[in-house]
Amino acid sequence: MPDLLAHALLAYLVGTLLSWRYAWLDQRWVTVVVIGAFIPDLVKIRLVVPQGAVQALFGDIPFSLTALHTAGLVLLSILVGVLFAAPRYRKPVFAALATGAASHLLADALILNPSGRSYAILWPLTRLHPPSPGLYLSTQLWPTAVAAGLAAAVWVADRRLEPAPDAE
Amino acid sequence: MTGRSGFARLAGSPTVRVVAILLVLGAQVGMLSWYASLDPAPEAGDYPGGYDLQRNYERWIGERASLAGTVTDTDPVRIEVGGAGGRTMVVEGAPPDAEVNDKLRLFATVRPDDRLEVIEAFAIPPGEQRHMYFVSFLAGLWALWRLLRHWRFDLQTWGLVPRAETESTVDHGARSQTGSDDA
Repeated sequence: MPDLLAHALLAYLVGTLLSWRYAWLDQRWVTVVVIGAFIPDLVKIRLVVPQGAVQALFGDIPFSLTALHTAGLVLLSILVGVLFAAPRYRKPVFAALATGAASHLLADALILNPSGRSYAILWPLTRLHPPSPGLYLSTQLWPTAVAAGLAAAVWVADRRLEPAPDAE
Repeated sequence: MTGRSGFARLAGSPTVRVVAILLVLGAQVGMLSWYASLDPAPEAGDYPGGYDLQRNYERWIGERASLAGTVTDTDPVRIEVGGAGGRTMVVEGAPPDAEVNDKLRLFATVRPDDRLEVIEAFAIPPGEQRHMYFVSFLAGLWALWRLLRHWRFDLQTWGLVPRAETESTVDHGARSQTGSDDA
């Protein structure tokens, strides 16, 4: 998907839909799903950290932040997030972050590339860059508008849902 | 989850977790270096890019490359690959609407003398790129606001914990003890 707002809205959408299915998944956990959606784009750090400086640090050893946007590195980043949570929340934090991150990786796999291929989404399991259906560019506005519309609809529906009679 | 076993206590200790975080970050650095050292694999859709062309141009002549650059000229179209001070290349068959300072993304056959023969390409104006960064920044603020509102750092268990349930976090779809809620 395009910009991070579209990713965050998509994560909010997915998280809130899941919250209708799983009682424990309230908006606090939807927040974790939303944060998960930012993980694959940690690679954008290179906008503030000059790659040249980093490469100089490594000398001749090749180094690139690109792979931060692959499943393997995203999984490790999620682990760091899990380690920041209090121990008894590890499983749900992992699940929520993973859901958000996965939604981001999948949405980005649909981006239009001149080569007709997407990125190495499943690295290091495989180096394959799967073919992309090329639905949108990361700079286009309409995917964000669609995500915002859907998120707004879900938000309204979420607020309208009557709580079931108590069974506590 | 917080068992009484020594291991569970150990696994929860801040020191162990900080060490674990450092180990994971170290593994990430290792994997990032590994990925950067991989040769392109065109049969898997991993085409050579700007970085590969800069390192060993001759190797890729006649091959297809997938790369991006900033447009510096329009007649003929020239792009700068690899940031400021990078390699300048002539693009044959560029989209006619390409303008200086656009970002040009292309899939092209590499020709001798720094020429790229376009198979497929499109130009993205700098305004669209700036908008994308700005909107992404807003998204970050929104996520941060939600995080501060819904979570806090607990010093006892040393970690982030959800804040006590409030009206804003009540899951309207789940069973609840409150009566009907006219939100």
